[in-house]
Amino acid sequence: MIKKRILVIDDDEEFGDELAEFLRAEGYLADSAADSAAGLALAGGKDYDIFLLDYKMAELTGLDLLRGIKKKCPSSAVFIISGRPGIAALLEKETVYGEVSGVIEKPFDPPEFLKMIRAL
Amino acid sequence: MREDDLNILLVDDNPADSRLVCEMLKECGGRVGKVERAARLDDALKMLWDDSFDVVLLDVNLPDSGGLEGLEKISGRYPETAVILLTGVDDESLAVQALRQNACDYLVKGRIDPGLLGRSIRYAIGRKQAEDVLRRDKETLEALVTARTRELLSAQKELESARRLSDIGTLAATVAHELRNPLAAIAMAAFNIKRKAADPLLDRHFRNIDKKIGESNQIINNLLFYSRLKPPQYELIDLKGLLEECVNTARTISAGNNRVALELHVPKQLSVEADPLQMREVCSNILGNACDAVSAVRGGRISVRAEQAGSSVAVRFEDNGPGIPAELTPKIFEPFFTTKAKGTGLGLYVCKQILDLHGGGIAVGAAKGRGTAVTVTLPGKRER
Repeated sequence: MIKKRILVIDDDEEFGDELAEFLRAEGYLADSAADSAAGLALAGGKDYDIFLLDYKMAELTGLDLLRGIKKKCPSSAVFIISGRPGIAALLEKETVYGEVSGVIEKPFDPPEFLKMIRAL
Repeated sequence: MREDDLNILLVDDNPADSRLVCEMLKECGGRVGKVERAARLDDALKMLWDDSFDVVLLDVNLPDSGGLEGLEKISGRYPETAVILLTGVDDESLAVQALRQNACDYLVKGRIDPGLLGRSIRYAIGRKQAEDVLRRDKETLEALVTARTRELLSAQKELESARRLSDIGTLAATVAHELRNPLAAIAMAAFNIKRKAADPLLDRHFRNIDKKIGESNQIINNLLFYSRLKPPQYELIDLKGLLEECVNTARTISAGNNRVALELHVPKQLSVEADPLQMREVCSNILGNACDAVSAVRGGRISVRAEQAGSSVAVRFEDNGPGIPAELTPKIFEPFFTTKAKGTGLGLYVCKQILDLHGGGIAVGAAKGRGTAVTVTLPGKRER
């Protein structure tokens, strides 16, 4: 079976690091990037199946990043991971809710999170 | 005697003068009704106390008072009564002083005739009526100003509280975001260590970390709900599923050193129309309290029982903890009230707000035997 590729883009570097390690341990090929520029650069080089995006980052919001990624890799699945209150409502307001495969609120239970990813 | 005839009190100790003025009153052409007489100021004050007079004709020199003393006493106590001073001597300075002290007129006995007396009485009555209208207008205005001021103050208070809440809301949202990120990283890191260590001896420590992360997240949620309580987003919720989820979370949390028996009794197909996020907040707060309550109890037990009660649904949470002292029960729904060493004191307050918004209710009492029982009621179907 071909391992799925996942890219975590989160400006909380330690979180991205731990999440990527967790995913590798679960059998995925996972990378992490701590800012949107690095994330987009990585996204251009490899074909990622799944993107896990933080909503708010220094230069670009998760929304801009989401649009950029959807342009580069239209067939990939994108999850938004955020600690921001009311994130689902915000995505709905920005009419991008349909484009995301799921919204995960921080903090989360790793096994529950894995179920969502596996369900793809 | 017609109703609007004037009641007149004549105060004069000289019988001849008194009789003369009485005669003149009969001829003065005014609406003179009852005329009573007094020879002393004390008697006059008693009569004024017992009866109401429109006009007092007051001699300046009485056996028990002299000068303007009588005027002061009468107009001080009965400001709506017109006082006309009578005097034997024409004293310009006394006259000016008397008018300044609210006398309506100042008449010199030797120079009065019925016409003058009648005119003086008419003017005095006119003046008192005008004063009366002014006084009533003033009272109305004062009442109006007081009412408006009160409205303004309460509006200002509301505004302040709204501003404070909105500040807290912004703060809470920022804090929520800033804290949830590190919490997520901590949770993730703990999970990775657990996997690497693969040591059952460490499990207890990881459970503790998860528990504390859960508690921190609950504090954040309570702050958010406290400051930004939104109208419920109604959905048809399967109550069994929601309660199972909350009870399972509580089970994980309470699976520490102390064994707690958690039981759930919900009939299948029990549904309510409610906001799922808010209902989860209510249940996790109540269950969190119950877990805290039984944490120091051997054989801690928590039971959750949901049932249809008429058209509404009731969920009863019972624990066998130490219970809530009766004198504290009135305070438990106040914001920031807590008896715990940790905790924001917002949990039950937020629960009550949420249930109020849903048209439901929450009641806290003693459980059978000992402990606390919290009953949440929700309307089964929402009225539209």
